[in-house]
Amino acid sequence: MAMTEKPSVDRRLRSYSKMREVMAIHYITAKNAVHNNQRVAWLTSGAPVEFLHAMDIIPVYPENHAAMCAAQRMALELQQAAEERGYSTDLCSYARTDFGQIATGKSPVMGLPKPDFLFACNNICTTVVKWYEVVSRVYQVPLFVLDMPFLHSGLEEPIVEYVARQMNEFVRFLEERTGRTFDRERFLAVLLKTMEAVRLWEEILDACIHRPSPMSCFDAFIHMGPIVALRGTQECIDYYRVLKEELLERIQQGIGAVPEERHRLLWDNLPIWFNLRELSEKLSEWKACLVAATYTSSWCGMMVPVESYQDMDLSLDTLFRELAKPYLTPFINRGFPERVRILKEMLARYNADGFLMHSDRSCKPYSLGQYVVRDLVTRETGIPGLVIEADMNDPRQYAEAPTLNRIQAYLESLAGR
Amino acid sequence: MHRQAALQRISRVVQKPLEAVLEWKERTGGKVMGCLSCMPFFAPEELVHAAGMLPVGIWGAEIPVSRADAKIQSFACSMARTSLEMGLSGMLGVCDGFLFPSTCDAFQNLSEIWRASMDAPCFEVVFPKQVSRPSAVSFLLHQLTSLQRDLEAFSGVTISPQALRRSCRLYNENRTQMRGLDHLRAKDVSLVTARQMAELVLASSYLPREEHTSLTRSLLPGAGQKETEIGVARKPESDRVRLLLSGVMPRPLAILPVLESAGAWIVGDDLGLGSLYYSLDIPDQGDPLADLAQAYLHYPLCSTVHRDAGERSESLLARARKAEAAGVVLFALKFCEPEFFDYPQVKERLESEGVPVLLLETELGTAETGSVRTRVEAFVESLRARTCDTARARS
Repeated sequence: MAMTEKPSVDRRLRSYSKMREVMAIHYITAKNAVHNNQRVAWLTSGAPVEFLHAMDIIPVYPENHAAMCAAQRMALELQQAAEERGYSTDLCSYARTDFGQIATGKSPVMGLPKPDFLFACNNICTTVVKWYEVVSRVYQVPLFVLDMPFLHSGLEEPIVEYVARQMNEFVRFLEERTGRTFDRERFLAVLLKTMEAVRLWEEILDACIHRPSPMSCFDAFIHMGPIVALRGTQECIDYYRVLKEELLERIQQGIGAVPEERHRLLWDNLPIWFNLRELSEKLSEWKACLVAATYTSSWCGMMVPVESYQDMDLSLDTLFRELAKPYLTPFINRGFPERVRILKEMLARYNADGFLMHSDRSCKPYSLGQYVVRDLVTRETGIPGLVIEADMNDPRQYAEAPTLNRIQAYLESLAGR
Repeated sequence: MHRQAALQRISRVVQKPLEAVLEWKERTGGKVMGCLSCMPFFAPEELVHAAGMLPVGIWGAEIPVSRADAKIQSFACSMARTSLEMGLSGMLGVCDGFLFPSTCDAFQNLSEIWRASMDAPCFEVVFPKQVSRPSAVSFLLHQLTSLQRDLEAFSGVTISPQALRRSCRLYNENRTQMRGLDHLRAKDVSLVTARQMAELVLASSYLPREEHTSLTRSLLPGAGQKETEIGVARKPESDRVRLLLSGVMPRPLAILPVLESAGAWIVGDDLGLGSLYYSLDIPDQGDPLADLAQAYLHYPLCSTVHRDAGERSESLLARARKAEAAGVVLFALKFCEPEFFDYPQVKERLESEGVPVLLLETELGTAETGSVRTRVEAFVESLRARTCDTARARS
């Protein structure tokens, strides 16, 4: 029982330092790529990185980097540097942070290494296409756009076919740029690693089904770096094994992320990176735990049935079609009926009694229409939700005090139900 | 039709667009398809027309937003927000269905909001975002085929290849006439004002194509027309500063007379609500659906489609040189990501080649032209001074 816990328990995850180490090595490797004769590609968080690992290309994630800048309170300065160069304050704050680091070379890791080419996949937004066009003009490097159509209705065969054909085009693009042949066996090996990591990530998130939840989404946001940036590598698997062990240990000891967990909430959209700690502490004080998020769960379900391929047609075409499916179906690439279904399912799965929706000024495809989605979910479940207006990376767009008041009032109304 | 009567008709249609649509509907009993995106023209109008329906572009409106506030956040562009306001407040009752051709994230989500909020059937057609690789061709053809099936089921009309071909030719003829007028106005400042030209293009969103083509013809120089009939007093041409317009749309349209009264002569554009729309015809080669697909793939570049990252600046520069433009005015609606991502490098590139760029950020529903006027006047004056300096340096 949660009530028997000792209040003095240190609730920070031990694994955090290990995670920082893993991510630091990732950035150092990327920064040293040029000295090791390795190519570097910048890519979007939802792009199938497996192609790059299979071709020994070092992946670099400007989104992950931008979030890191915000968490370390550097994002605003970088955004302002971009704005001085003509980029509107209404543009995505990740993109502005990125343009700022390109212009100034400043960031917690002293900027990103120059890309040899760019790989943008619009399964998360169309913004990334425009963003990467800008970067492509700055560095005069090629940009490959892997087009993943938005799924207003279901996952139709011709869409899968279209994406699979583009994967073939991407393989040719990579072969031309590297002068090497794409190796199916290596690609399969990378896919297996991705799936192992995804499986672990799912188990980690599902640990939060337990009451009290051994970690909160604030932890998950911080610990998602490897699943975004390192999936397909052994390091990613090794790290999540450690994290999973720690969570299981906590469950055994009955340690929750939030002392005296009373409210279990779902979070929708990206986190407010520059305000993670403050919001986390407030919710904790109010005995509310964020037990799941549509955002962290977006890296789940990437299951390609590779194991069973031993007895099946192992052609690349078949493989690409299978890979296209999970990459086409993240939460943010789906229409509202599907989003409502997923939210309802998550509310039930994680035993949540409420949900917070971050209306993120920088992320239109995630945010626009959240009020409509909220009303539909509430109508169908009876569970009330709260929409708060903020931004993932731009502190100027977040009015903290009134927002906290609204959250507190919302929690009180939940308690009265 | 007499030129002045044609201009009056166009003005009337633009002021009361849905009145014109209702006229058509009452006369024909046909269905009306509202097309919603920042580029309503991206809807395959020919396909809608071939199913016996009237495709109508919903271009938002100069109205305040109240009902829509509960459904779409303030950081969507005013085109999306005022369009939703129109829908929620019953202004679009004349439409039997709505078609969303994909352009940007805001309109993508708007279609989801629309579906959840209104009863009329909604159709989406998601176009390939990249258009230079072979994979785009077959996917686009599939999307159009699938849309054709939806439109047939909705209208109860089977679209034969012959009917689609006839529609393509009808629309091609219309575009040919608009191109002709555009070509002439770049030579003859007195032919139509920039606002009249924009209104003409906008009116094509609401009128039956035959009528619109005939109105366009009436504006071309012909027998018995006197140039004094044009309503704007003009300075001699030599005084005017040649300007190129760029962007999705110059709205509110009231900005255009501001440009002209500041002394500018609009010698060309690559506007969505402009030459982008009528610059290209549907090829007349084989299967009309495949021809529609080809036209989309070869459209002059729009900021919502990815082809070649460097293309926009270069094509704008080439256009400016060809039109001997002294500067470029780039129009962008606030929150329009595709345009605001392009702008800084377009400006940098063009200015490095001696073509200054002025960005005008506008919003529908907040018709405030005071500060715009000041900026435009200053820009035109600075271009005039540069032109004089250059002329002096040459002599």
